[in-house]
Amino acid sequence: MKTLIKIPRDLFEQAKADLFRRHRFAGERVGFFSTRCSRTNSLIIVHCIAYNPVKDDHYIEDPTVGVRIGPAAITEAMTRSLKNSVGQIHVHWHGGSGLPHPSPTDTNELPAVQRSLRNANVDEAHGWMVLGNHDGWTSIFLPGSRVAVLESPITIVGFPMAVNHRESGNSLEKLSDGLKKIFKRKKPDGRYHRQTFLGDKSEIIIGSIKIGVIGLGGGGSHVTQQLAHLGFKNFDLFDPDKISKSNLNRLVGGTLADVKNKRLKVIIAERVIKQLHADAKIQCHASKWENAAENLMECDLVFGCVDTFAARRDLEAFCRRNLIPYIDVGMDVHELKKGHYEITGQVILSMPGKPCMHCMGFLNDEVLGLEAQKYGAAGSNPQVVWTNGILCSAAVGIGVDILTDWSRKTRQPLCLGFKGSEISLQSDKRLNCLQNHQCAHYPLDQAGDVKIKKL
Amino acid sequence: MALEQDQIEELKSCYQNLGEIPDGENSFILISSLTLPEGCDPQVVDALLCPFKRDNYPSRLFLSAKISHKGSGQNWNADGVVIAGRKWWAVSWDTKTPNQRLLGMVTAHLQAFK
Repeated sequence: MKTLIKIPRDLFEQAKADLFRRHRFAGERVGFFSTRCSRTNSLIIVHCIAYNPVKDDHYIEDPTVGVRIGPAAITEAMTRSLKNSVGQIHVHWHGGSGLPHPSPTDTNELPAVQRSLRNANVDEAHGWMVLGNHDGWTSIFLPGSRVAVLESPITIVGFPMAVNHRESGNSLEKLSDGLKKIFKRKKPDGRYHRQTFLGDKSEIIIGSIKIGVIGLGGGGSHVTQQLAHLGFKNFDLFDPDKISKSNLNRLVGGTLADVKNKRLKVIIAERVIKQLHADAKIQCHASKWENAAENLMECDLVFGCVDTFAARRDLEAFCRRNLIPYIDVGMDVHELKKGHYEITGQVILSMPGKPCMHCMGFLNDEVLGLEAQKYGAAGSNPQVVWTNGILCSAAVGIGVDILTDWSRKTRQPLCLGFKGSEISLQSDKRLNCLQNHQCAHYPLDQAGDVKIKKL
Repeated sequence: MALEQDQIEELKSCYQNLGEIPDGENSFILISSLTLPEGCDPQVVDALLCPFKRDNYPSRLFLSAKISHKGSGQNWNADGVVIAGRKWWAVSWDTKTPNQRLLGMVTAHLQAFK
C-alpha cells in the first residue's frame, strides 16, 4: 500500500510561522497537524486539514534537548483526535531545501508519542514529521496499523505546488536508500533546452506529475497534446465517447481513419502522447470519471474539459475532497440576434482551501437549475478549434506555473473570461473581492473519505 | 444549516438507520436500507436526502441504484452522480413545497414511485 501526505500551502505556512516563533526557554517549537484519510485499493492519502500549535505553558524546560513538550500537550492532541475523529501528526521544523533528517533525539523519543496518539484513536493516521522548506520526513501509523510507514511522499497543495514523488520506506534502514533516490538526477538530453527558464527542477517535476484529463474532445485533446510536448508523461484520461465526423473540426490528433474505425477519444489522445513519449504511463478510461474515481484520486492535477455545469460542480467537489487543484476549461457560442454570434469561455483554477467556482459566482442555483430542467443535456453546441486552443493553452500555462512557479506571480485562484469577438482573455474582476475569502462550500475539514455521523 | 433535532426524531420514527453527511455549510441525510413503494425494483436501497435547494429543486432524494417502477416519476436526471464519495441516481421530481419538514420531504419524493 502506497501512502501520500498532502498539506495545503496555507496550513504549511501557518505551521512554519508558528514553529519559527521564539519561546521563552524552548529552542524550537512543536505543533500538530490534524488529518483525515482518503483510501483507494493501492493508496492511502493522509490529508492535513488543520494546524494546532502547542501552548506556551505546555513546554517543559530541559537543557539537554532543543524542545520538550509535557503530557498536557500530548493529552490535548489525543483528545482532539477522539473528539473530532481526526489523526494527529506531531510536527517540528528542521528547514533546508531537500528532505530534512530526523535527529537521534527525534528517533528515540517521538515513536512513543506516535504510539500514544494511535492508542487514543486507532481509526485515524498518526505520526510525526520533520519539516523542511519544500518537503518533510515522516513516520506514520496508517489507520488500524501498528507498523510505521517512513518517508511518505509529501505534496504541498497551493501556490506554488511542491510535489515530492518517492517510494515510502517501511523501516529506518531504508532512510538512506530513500535519500539516494531523491538526489538522483537525470542528465539533461537537450530536448527541453528551450524551456529551462521553467526552473532547474522543472523537467523532473513535469516528468513525475500525474495529470487527470476529463473529456478528450475539442478541449482535452489540446490539453493533452500540449502537456505531452512539455514533458508530462503520466496521465489518467477519461472519456466514454468515440470520435465522429463532426469532431474533426477541432479534435487535435483525430483523423478520418479514426472516424472510420470509430476510435475512442481516449485512444486518440493516448496515441498523440505516445508519439512524443514511448515510455509514457497512460491509463485510458473509456467511461465517465465517476466509474474510475479511485484513479482520479491519485492524480496531482486535474483538467476538466466537460460540457455541463453539473459535471463541473461534481468534478470540483471531488477534487476539493481529495485536495487536488482543478483547472476548468469551457466555451459556448451564443446567438445574440439572428445571424450574430458571440463566443464566450472560461479558464478557472480552483485551488483547495481557496475560493471555489460557487464562490466565484460561476456556478449557482440558477445555471444548475436551468440545466437540470433540460436533463443535463448540453446538446450539439457549436465549437471551434481556435477558441479551444486559446483557452486550453491558458489552462496549460496556469498548470505549469503552479507546478514550477516560473513566474513567481500566481498566488491566487484564477477565473479568466474569454470573449471571442475580441480574442480577449481577461481576469474576472470579481476575484479581487475574494482575496482573503474562506470557502464555505468546501471547508478543509471535510477533506478525505466521508465521515457519516450516526443520527 | 444545522439539522433540527425534532425533525430528525420525527424522521427516525419512520426510518431508523440515519446518518448525517456534512456538505459545506449544509448536511445530507443518509437513509440506509430505505424500502421503496410496491412495484419498485430494487425495492430496498440506500437513499441520500438533500434537504436543501439543489439543481433548482427545493430538495432531492438520491438513491443508490437505478429504479425500475411504474410510478409518475419516470424522468431521471442524475445517473452516477458522485456525492460524498458515492454514486447516486435520482428522478426529476419537484415536490414544489419549500420549507417542508424532513419527513415530509421523504414522503413527497416517494410519491414519484407510486
